[in-house]
This record gives sequence, C-alpha cells and structure tokens, in this order.
Amino acid sequence: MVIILTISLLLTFISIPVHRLSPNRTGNWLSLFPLGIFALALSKLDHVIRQGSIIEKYSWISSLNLNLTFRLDGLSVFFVLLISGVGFFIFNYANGYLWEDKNKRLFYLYLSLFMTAMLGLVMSGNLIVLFIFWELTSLSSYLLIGYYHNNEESRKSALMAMLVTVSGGLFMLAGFILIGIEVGSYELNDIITNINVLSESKVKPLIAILILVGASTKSAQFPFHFWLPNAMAAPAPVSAFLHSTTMVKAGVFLIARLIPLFADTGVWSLTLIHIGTITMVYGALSAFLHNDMKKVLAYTTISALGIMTMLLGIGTTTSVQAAMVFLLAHALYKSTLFMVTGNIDHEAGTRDLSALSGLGKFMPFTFYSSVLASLSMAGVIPFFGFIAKEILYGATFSAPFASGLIGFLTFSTGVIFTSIAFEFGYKIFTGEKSTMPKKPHEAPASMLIGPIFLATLGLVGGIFSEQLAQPILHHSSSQILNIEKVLKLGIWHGFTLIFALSLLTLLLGYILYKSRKNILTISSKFKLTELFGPEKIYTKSITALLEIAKKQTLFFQSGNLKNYFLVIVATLLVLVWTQMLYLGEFPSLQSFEELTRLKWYEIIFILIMAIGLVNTIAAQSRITSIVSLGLIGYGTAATFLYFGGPDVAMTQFLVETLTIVLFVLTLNHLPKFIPLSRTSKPKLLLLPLLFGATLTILLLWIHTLQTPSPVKDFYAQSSYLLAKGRNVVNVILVDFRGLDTMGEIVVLAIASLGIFSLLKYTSKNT
Amino acid sequence: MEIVLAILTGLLFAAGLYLMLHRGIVKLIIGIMMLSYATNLFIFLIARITRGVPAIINQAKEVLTPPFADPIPQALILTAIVIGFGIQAFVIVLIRKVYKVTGTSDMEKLNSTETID
Repeated sequence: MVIILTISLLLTFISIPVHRLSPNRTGNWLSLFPLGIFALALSKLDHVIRQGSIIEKYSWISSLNLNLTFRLDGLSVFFVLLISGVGFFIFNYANGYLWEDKNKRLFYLYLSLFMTAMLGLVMSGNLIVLFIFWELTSLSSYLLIGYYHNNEESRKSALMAMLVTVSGGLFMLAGFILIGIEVGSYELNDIITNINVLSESKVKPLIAILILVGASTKSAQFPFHFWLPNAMAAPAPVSAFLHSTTMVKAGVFLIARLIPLFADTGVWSLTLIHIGTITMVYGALSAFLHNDMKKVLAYTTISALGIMTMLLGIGTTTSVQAAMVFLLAHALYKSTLFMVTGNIDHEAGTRDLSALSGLGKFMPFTFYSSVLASLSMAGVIPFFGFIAKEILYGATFSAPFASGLIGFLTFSTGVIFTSIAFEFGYKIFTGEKSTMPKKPHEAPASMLIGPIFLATLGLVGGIFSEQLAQPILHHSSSQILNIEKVLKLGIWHGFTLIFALSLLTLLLGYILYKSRKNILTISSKFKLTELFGPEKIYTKSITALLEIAKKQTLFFQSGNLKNYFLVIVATLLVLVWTQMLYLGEFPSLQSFEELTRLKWYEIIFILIMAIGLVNTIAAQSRITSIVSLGLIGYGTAATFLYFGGPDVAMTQFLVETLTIVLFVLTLNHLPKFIPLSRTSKPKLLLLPLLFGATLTILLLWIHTLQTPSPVKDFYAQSSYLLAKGRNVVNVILVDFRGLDTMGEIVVLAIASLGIFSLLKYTSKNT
Repeated sequence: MEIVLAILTGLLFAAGLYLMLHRGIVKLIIGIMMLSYATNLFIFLIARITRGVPAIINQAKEVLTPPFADPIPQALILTAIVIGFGIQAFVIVLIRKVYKVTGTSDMEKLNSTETID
C-alpha cells in the first residue's frame, strides 16, 4: 500500500514548511495526514475483509531479487488503523504539549518519520523491507527519546533504547537471512507457500530464537525490558504513541506475523510463553513499586506486552484472538493514561503518585478521561478492558499446558493492574488538594481531545464491541492463525467462573490499592527497585566497551613514532616468518654456490657501500652522515648499472646528487645531532638486526624458488611490436603504464607546491 | 654476488630502522632514505639479477630474447626513486621549518599540539 506510505512520507517532508507557515498550529494541521491515512485504510477494510489481502510489489534491487512488497491484510490493516488513529490524536496533543517549545518543528519531523517507518513496518511483505523499516523505527525513536537533547539523562536513554533495539534487530536480520538461504526468497508469500522447506530445515529452531531476540528487544521483553522505563525521558506524546501503542508493539506484530511459520516449532512457543510470563509478572511487580507515573505506566506496558507475547506463544485460537483484543484494549487505555500523565505533569509540575491528590476539581476533563481509561484498565464492566480481560482469562486457563500456573499469574497481574488503576483513576483526583510545584489548571483543548476520545472509545467499544471491534479483530487474528472459528465479543457471557474471577480481581485489586502505601514503605527499605538487573549489565558493558576502546587506542595510537615503527616491523616479522615456516623448504647451502660468484669490480662498490653504511651510523656530525649516505646511494646506482639497469642507475645518480645538494643547502638550518635516546644501544639494535636478517633470509629463500613471470615475457614480446619502443623499461613507464607516470608527475608537482608554500609561510613565532 | 647483495640489503634495512628509532629528526630522515635504498635493492633482487644485459631490444630484432634483465622491477624502482626524491625534498624543507618554528628536533616533544598559555 504505497499510497499510505507516500502520504506519510509527504508528511515527513512538509512538516517543517508547515511549521514555518503556521508555527502555533503545526500539530493540528499535520494531524490531518494521519486522519487521511486512517480514512484510506478504513475504506480498504471492507475489501480486505471480503476479498483478502491487497499485495503491491515493486521491483527494487532486481540483481539481489529484492522487491518492495507491501501487503494490506487483516493484521496490517488493524495496525495501520491503530497507528494512524492514535497518531491523529498524538499530533494534536503535541501541539498543546510543545506549545512553548522552540525546537518543535524537529519534533514533528521526527514524529512523522517514525510514523512512516511504523506504517512501512506493518505493511512490509518482504523480510528485508521489514527489517529496514524496523531499524528506521529504532532510529526515529532515538531522535524522539533524545528530543530534550540538552538533558544528559535523555541522551543516555535514547542511546540505550537504540542500542538495545538495533542490536536485537541485527539478530533478527540474521534470522531473516537464514530464512532467505533456506527458502531462497525473502517474500513473505513465497515463504508461507514453501513452508515445508522451512519445516524440514535443521536451523529452524535457531532462526526462531534469532527472530525472537529481535522481537523481545523491540517489545521490551525481559531481560531486554530496561530501555523502556528509561525511554520515559521522552516528551509525553512520544510515550503515548511509541511506548504504549505503536513501536513497542512492533515485536508483538512480528511474532504474530511469523506465527504461521513457527507455530510447529517447540522452542518458539516455549520461549514465548516463558519470556512472556516472566515479563508480565516482573513488569506488574515493578510497576506496583514505583511512584513516578510515567515509570508506572512504562512497567505496566512491559507487563501488558508480556501478556501479548505469552498469548501468542500459547498459540491456541482463543489465545491469539485474546492477544489481538487485549492489544486493542491496551492501546486505548494506555495511550490515554500517558496523555493524562502528560497533562498532569504539564499543568501541575509533578508526576509523583504519592505527591498528587485532589486534582479532579482543577482538571475535570483530564479526570474524566483518566477515570474511563482506568476503569478499562481494571476491567470493569462494560468497558472494552473488561471484554479483553474475560477473553484473556479464558485463554490462559484453557492453555494446553501449565494452564493453572499461567492462569494464576495472569490473574495476579490483573489484580496489580486494578490496584494501579485505582491510583490513576481515583487517588490522584480525589481528596484534599496536595501541594504541587505549579498551580494546577485544566490542559488546553488540543491536549484533551485525544484522551477524552480514546477513553470514551474504551467505553463505547465495550458496549458495542460486536459492531465496532469484532470484525477487524476477528480478521486480524484469523490472518495470524488461519482460523475459521469466529471471534465473538460481548459483555455478557453469564455467571461463569471467569466472570467470578473478574469480580475477584476487582475486589483484590481494591484491597491491594489500600495497602499499597504500607507495601511501598517496606519495599523502599529493601530498595527492591534498585536490585541488580539487566540494566546494570548494559551499563557495565557500555562502560567496559568505552574503557577497552580507550586503552586499545592509547596502546596502538601512542603518538610515539618509535612505537609505530616497532608495531609495523613486528607485524611484518610475524607475517613473514609464519609464511616461511608454513611453506617449509629452507634453502640448502649447495644451491648458493652460483650465487656467491663475484667479479673484482663488484667487490669495489660493495666495499664502498659497506663503508658508507658504517660511517652513516657512526657519524657524529650531520655532514659526515649525509656524505656517507651519498656513498650508499652511488653504490646502489652502480649495482643497478652493472646488472642491466642503466636507466635506473642514471636516475639514481641524478637524484643522489640533488639530494646531497639539497641537504647541504639547508644544512645550516637543520638541527645538530644531539644524543637524545634513553634506550641503550644494544637494546635499540636488536629489532633492526632481526628485521634485516629476516629480509636477507627472505631474499635468499625467494632465490631458491622457481617462479615463472608471464608479465615479464609479455613486455619482452610486445614492447616493440605494440609500442614501437626498444628500451623496454622506458616503454613500460611512458606507454604501458603511462597513467602511473602521470600520477608520479602529479606527486612531484604537489611536493614542489608543498615546498614552495612551506618556504613562503611565516608563522608569528619565527 | 646475490648472496653478498642480499646480506648488504639486510644490513641497510637494519641500519635504516636503527636510525629511525632515534629521537633526532635528522636521523629519522637519513634512516628513511636508507630504508628506501634497501627497498629498491630488495625489489631489484627478488626478480633475479643478470649481469650486463639491459632490457633493450636489438636494432635487428623485434622482440627481446633471453637473457635480459627483468624490466618490471626497474620500472617500479624508477618510479620509487623519483617519488622518494619528491618526498625527501619536501621532508627536508618541512623539518627545517619545524625546527625553526618549534626550536626542537626531539620527536618525542613533537607529538602534541602547541599549548596555549
């Protein structure tokens, strides 16, 4: 559904121009885009339900067989509606929330980018495309969490969220690539059609685990959950959008999307049930122990995501349907509660649960939405949350195994949710007004329509669940499992055990709420919330990583030239010796016989070079060492001359002379020799001698090998025939490798330019 | 001959590196220059050496017939010598300037930027 993505992308591009035109109403104007997407998706809904999914395929990187495939089916249309619907309110909400913010144009840009990525993610019909949008959501959420970038905590949290989700994404990518290798296609359709190929694959459990790591990091499952409470450093609209409704549900979406592939893999459902259950209980307990409203909501979100993961893991018809119903219920009440928290934080200046009471008089509309959302959260009849809770209990107590335990834990979580709902819907708004940093007043209209509408929808959706929610939810869950059993939503199912449990949840929840204060006093003594956890592991490994990087950099980049030489030479020695020892076959002395024959004139220039060598090292003055160096240079030139390299010899003679002239000309300006080294001479000599000896041995060793040289023969053959030159060396330089020579000339030109500017340059110090 | 030249090359490598490990900046350039002689010789030697037969095609012939000196290392060395010279010239002038500006030739004192007081 490229048109939806295009609209969203257009929104991203025009967000800043719109801000310029209407700086105070940007959010309101931009919210029309998500509204348009919502309407568009709604118009397709009927088609999707009646005629099945719409698939659009565009060739992208054909050489890699990659297509931009988008699909709008029961599952993705549900998510598109959710994202765009909540998105509409979020844009409006942000307009009020960021009224006085100077950088808000960036906020809208990031938010639109995120929405685009999220829409792309849920509509992807190709695993690689899905991965790209997946990482884009991580990236844009980094920008959004770190929106208050002058706050260090905010930056750290943004980085944490990104590192955790992106690294999880890489695991997921590895899983996708394995699927691609096994099946030969990244197209979801192809993979589902060729499900046998994957079922027979030995690596299937591995793929399942890899993908689950990705999903768990994104959906904040234990032990990767810790980024989510920290991500509360983001502005309220971000928390309400990303961290309750959309991004964190991407993991759940992915699991739902891939259930057809993995439902028969034992490790898949077992892992999901375990992770989900642990996350559910852990999140609920942590939420109960916190006082910061946003943290509480974050932990209940973690817990709720755990419930969805668990339900998808159970994998029965009822449980998958329950997951979808609960997902919708949670999205409605949780985004409302996040916006309510934002309102209170904005207008009262604090979001400490223990410090707030009596707000109802000052913020009647916020109060109204919070009560409705809380009732839905607690699962009070006839709210949509009630329906979700009924079906949730039903699914867990009828799970194929360990149903008693899972059911009991879900029930306990429900009790905790209820007690928290009392805090949000009752405690902070009633009673005497407590002292607050700001004089509380009602939030502006744009910050109220979202919470009011969504909270009311939680009520209306509960009463008219059969008409409003049932078709889409039935369709999205049957997209996951391919089930025919019709989802039936309704308030009244008679006096069943489940209904009794629902009532018991409310009762126990109330009791728990009443005793919360006492429990908190006890828990704060034990510092339960600061116990060692995965977050510490994350912080420690980040610190360790930086520490290692620092040490490693200091070790390799010491800034001391000598150390660099030592490292380079040592590396060379190790490489040369391992290769020589690996190949074995050291030269025998007999093969050297021919190599030792000398002519008398050769002895002369070798002697000259030897004298030059010794003199250069031993010289105490600059002039001696430079002249001695010249001897070596001329000696080298003579070697070239006697062994068939007249051109090389000529160049060497010329350059040697020029170098000496240059040295002599600048000699007076060069520093004198002063003994500076602290290292003793023998110690300093050790490595150079080893280096020299190795290269000598290498040379001799090469001489014992027979290696044909086709290049040499080519030049010998074609020098005259192809290039009409008789001096082969010259032909190579100016013809065959003429471009190289051009480069060489450029180097010389640059060097002379450099010299010229150095001579011209005068600093203040000179 | 080869064995003698190989030993000589090794000694040049050793001496070059030895000089480069010193802290004086002039010794550093001399060391680098010595290292480049050694490298040129090394390249020259690995291709096997032949006495007195340059790679030049006789007027009467159209192709080069063995024995002849390998032209490839020679071409490489020619390039190396010329570029090496360019760099040497630049470095000599640079050192002269550095010495003039900073007043030191100690490599270990040259590894940080100026301190502003």
